[in-house]
Amino acid sequence: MWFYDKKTQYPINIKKPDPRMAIAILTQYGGPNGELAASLRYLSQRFSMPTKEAKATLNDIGTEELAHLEMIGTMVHQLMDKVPPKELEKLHVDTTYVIHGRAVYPSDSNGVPFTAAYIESMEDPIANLNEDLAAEEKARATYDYLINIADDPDVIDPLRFLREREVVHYQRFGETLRIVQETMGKKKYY
Amino acid sequence: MDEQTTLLEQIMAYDFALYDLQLFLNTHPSDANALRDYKMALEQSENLRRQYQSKFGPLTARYLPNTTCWQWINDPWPWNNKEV
Amino acid sequence: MENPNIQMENLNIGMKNLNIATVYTGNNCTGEPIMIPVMPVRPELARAYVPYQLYNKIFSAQEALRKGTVFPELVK
Repeated sequence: MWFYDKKTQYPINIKKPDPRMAIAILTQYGGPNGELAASLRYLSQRFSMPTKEAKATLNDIGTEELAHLEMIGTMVHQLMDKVPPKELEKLHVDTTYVIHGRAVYPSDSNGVPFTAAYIESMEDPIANLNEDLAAEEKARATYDYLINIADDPDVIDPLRFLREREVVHYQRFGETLRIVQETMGKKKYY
Repeated sequence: MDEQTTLLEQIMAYDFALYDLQLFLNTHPSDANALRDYKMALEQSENLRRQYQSKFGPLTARYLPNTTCWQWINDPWPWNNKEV
Repeated sequence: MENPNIQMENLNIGMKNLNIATVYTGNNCTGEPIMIPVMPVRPELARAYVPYQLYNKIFSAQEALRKGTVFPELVK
């Protein structure tokens, strides 16, 4: 089960509201390469993992992704909070506002709600782990795009942190795949 | 930066180091060097958390210095902006 | 059709130049140790391989937080 530590993993203190950046970052909350998809994917796949290293890795990276989900939600909240509705209209983010107000909602940057269709969880651990490697690269690339359009250092710093975490997660999934491949040998999966 | 923020960011740093080492140890469970560094970071984190909680209140719900007051609900919550 | 033995030979010649070290996983407390080389000596076709990390120096906690990892060799 999970316990809650009353802090974000990385400091987040955004002083300048930016609703358009908020909507852009939302893709890492409820979008296809986002942290909700990542955590649900890994926490679902962990049940089928065959070795203890694999179970621990899926469990603990899935848990870390929940902390990242919190970071993204915090960033979106701080970028949108208290911005007057008329401002949102000027910046063309009023279409989100009329549905959710300035609240954080799990969708992508186009308002498409989160779906489990973004993830897969199979009994075959080699298929799962290859998907996990791909997911980490896609997340890393998405953070590259977000960093490209961001200007505020208070925003760029946490995005850079999150991007680097995807690189590290790739390495760990790669090692987990090595263990599973090498200990399972040439066993077939049915 | 005020003392609360400074101390919390130090805790974030050690807790983060612990997590990154934890992920490494999950795929290298016999690595003596990593285990040694994990232990050192754990001691630092526990020490700093003790200091923080006694001055500024709970980081987890399992901190109850007295039974007259439930501090867990107090601000700041992690998503609040520092300038409130 | 190419001779698969020649393919494996070429791979092995390439691998000889790598500094291959073995990493023991498995846990002395609860299980048998397994040896995982940094890269496999005989990689299989239709399989992906990520090099296994070896432990070196780590950043200070403060620098690690800024960089996003304790491992300098993983900063990309």
